[in-house]
Amino acid sequence: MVYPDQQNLNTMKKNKRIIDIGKDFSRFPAGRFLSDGPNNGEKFQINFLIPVMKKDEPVIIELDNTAGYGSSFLEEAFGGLIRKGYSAEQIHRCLSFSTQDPSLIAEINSYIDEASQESLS
Amino acid sequence: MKRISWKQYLRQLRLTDKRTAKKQRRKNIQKSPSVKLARPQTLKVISAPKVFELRNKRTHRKLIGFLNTLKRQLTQHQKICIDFSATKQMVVCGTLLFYAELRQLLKKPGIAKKLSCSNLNDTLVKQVLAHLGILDMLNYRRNVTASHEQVICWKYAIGHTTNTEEVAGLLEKNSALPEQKAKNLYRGISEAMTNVSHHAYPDTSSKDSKDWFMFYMEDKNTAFVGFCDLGVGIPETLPLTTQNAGEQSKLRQILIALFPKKQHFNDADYIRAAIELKRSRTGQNNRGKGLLDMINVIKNNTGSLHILSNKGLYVYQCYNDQKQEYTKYYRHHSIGGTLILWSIPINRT
Repeated sequence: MVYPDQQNLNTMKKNKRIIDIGKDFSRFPAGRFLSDGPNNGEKFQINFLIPVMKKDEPVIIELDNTAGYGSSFLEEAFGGLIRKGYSAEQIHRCLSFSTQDPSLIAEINSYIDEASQESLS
Repeated sequence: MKRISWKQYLRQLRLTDKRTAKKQRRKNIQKSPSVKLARPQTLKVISAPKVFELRNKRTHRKLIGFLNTLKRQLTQHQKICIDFSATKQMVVCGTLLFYAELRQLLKKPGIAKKLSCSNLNDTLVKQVLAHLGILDMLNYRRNVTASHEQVICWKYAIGHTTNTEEVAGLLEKNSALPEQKAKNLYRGISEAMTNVSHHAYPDTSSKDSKDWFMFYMEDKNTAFVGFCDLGVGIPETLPLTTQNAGEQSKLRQILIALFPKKQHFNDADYIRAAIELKRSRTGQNNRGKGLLDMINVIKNNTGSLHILSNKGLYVYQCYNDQKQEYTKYYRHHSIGGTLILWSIPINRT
């Protein structure tokens, strides 16, 4: 799987819609499920990611501009897409990420790939 | 007969009046069966420990002993006065547990009026207790102003969901931690909150009862963060994760690999195993990475992490690229929940 690098992202940003988690969702993302609190991963997935996946629309997710992310939020928001029936291939096709911290992208991709492997086993 | 003065005569008259009135009151009480004498409420004085600290075995025993006595006496409907004459030092972890226990106790009806305190001799102790609102909880009415720089740097937050806005605001406003360290800390705290929501109170469906408590304290060199819940504790939730034979065998394998000479495992061993197991109560592999996030606050930087849960303590330290892990077991004294303490050096490099 090839992920877009920063240089490609700059050109892609001109053409694609950007979802800025810090500005469009919350600066304080935390928690996994709707019952956990106001800015959880499941809520972000339902309100932002599933509409994108349904339209099969390529978007850029801006990950900076927040106070940080817990693994529960990231796993449920992105890995949870697999459990909702979307394929890893479609997720990687639709979602690209922009951040100063490349480890975040690697972490999200690992959650998608792990969830995909679990769904197959 | 001895002649008495006018002053003495008046005194005798007053005493006679008093005695007559007292006799009359007694007669009235005996006549009327509806009037009962109120049972005098005894005042129980409990001595607070010298140091409010949990990591050292001796101070741990004294503090937990004090908290258990306090809870026991309050349930016996006695008035309680906490005597702080011996108290000389308030440390983040011990003070946080005391604060959390007090807040939980005050949720019960009728407790608020039973509490009082005395002998606040140490100025710093007095200021810390005032600053955190503990003196108000203990019905201490005198005005105490917290002004010392070692006191006003203590900040606190409480909640019952993963609403991190207050905590993040607190960190942004008061912390000198560099951005990446602050983000790592935010990650650890948000996962601690998520763990409280998912695991700490398994018998509680109400969100409002899933309380957590947090202290933040920063001096010139180090940030100290304490996060606490009064739930069932990690050792209690871990065996529940292993409901099927395969999972039980995995847990057993981890415990044997970690502690090959042991036949029986204690709370500290279970905390260590929980970290290794990296998964949660539901047994789903996608969950349970929270404990690792808490370690990563330190792993990616320097500092120390203490996880106290029930009778166990797990410590992860990282200084000058030297990593160290160890556990401690407090045989007779459970903290009755989970308390996480991070110490993070504030170097801007």
